Amino acid sequence: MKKNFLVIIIGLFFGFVVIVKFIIIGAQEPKTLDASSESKIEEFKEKIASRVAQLNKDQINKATSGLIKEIKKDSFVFAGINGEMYTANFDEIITKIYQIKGSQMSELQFSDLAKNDFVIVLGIFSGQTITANFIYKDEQFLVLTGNITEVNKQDYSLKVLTDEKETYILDIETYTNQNMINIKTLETQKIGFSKIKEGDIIHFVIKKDLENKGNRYSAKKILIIPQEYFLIPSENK
Amino acid sequence: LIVSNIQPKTLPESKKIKDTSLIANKKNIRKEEFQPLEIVDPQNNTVFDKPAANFEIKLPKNSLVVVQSPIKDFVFQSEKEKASFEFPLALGENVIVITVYPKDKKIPQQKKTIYLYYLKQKI
Repeated sequence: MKKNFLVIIIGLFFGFVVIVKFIIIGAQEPKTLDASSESKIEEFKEKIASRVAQLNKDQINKATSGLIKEIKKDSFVFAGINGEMYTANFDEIITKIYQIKGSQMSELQFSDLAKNDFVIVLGIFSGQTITANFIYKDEQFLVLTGNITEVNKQDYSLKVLTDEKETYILDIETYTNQNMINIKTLETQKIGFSKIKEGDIIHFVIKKDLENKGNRYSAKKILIIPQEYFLIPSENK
Repeated sequence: LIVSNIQPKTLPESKKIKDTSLIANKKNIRKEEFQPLEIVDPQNNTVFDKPAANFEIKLPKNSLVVVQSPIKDFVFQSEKEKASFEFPLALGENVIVITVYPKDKKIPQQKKTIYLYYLKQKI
């Protein structure tokens, strides 16, 4: 860690010296910064960023995510998964920001980020402060497990008590991926709503929605373990 | 005078604590501990540059294992106390929940959640 820090300092110092030299040369000569000089400076900036990234490769491979709570001029505060607060610092030259949509990424500006956006921050961690190399705006999903306590056949919904003792109401939509484990073969198979019973175990995925004030969500997908699986004697499984 | 008059009492045979090794050998009481669910690899918050992660877990033997994320459900039976498998990752954050249901009903169901990231780092 100290060695890496020292190398970064030395690298930045040399970079600073070269930039100053460029400026001095530019000041002495007639002020016509030609395209080739500009592109050299740009190239050098990119090299510094790449070098810093390379030096800290082991730190780059760590990320955390959460909801933005406050945005400042060059940073934002976000709440991590377990509620801990982080500050992500943005650097105009080094930090890249992207939006993730499905399997595609598109570039964003810092000004495109807003409060309550769900972000993934990749960078150098120093306690609760992150020097962000990359920021990704993404969608947040919850993956939960529980017992089905009620099946509503009128509005195609399920009441679930999760392992964390929270109650959810899941709306089963036409797009909800519904699967059940075959207790004999242990393979998963597609099912209809009528196969689901109170007392079954359910594993489900929902998309987190901040505008949702209650605990009622449309289920993205569900996987049912029939209660009969747990009634079969151990030696027959 | 008071102390010297106190006679040591001996417990009747029926109230004596029996040898615990004799009790443990009975079939309906398990003496050995079970292997709790543990995700050995990968570590939480790991970033991947490819859309898959290789998992190594420890778990109670003879368990039904359910691995769920927003893009994949994976179910298998593990007879041993170790299991390895590859699991796909979506671009961005992947919340992956591993739940084990041991065949032995004396061992409780266990669950672990891990957050992994598949990110394309364009420098």
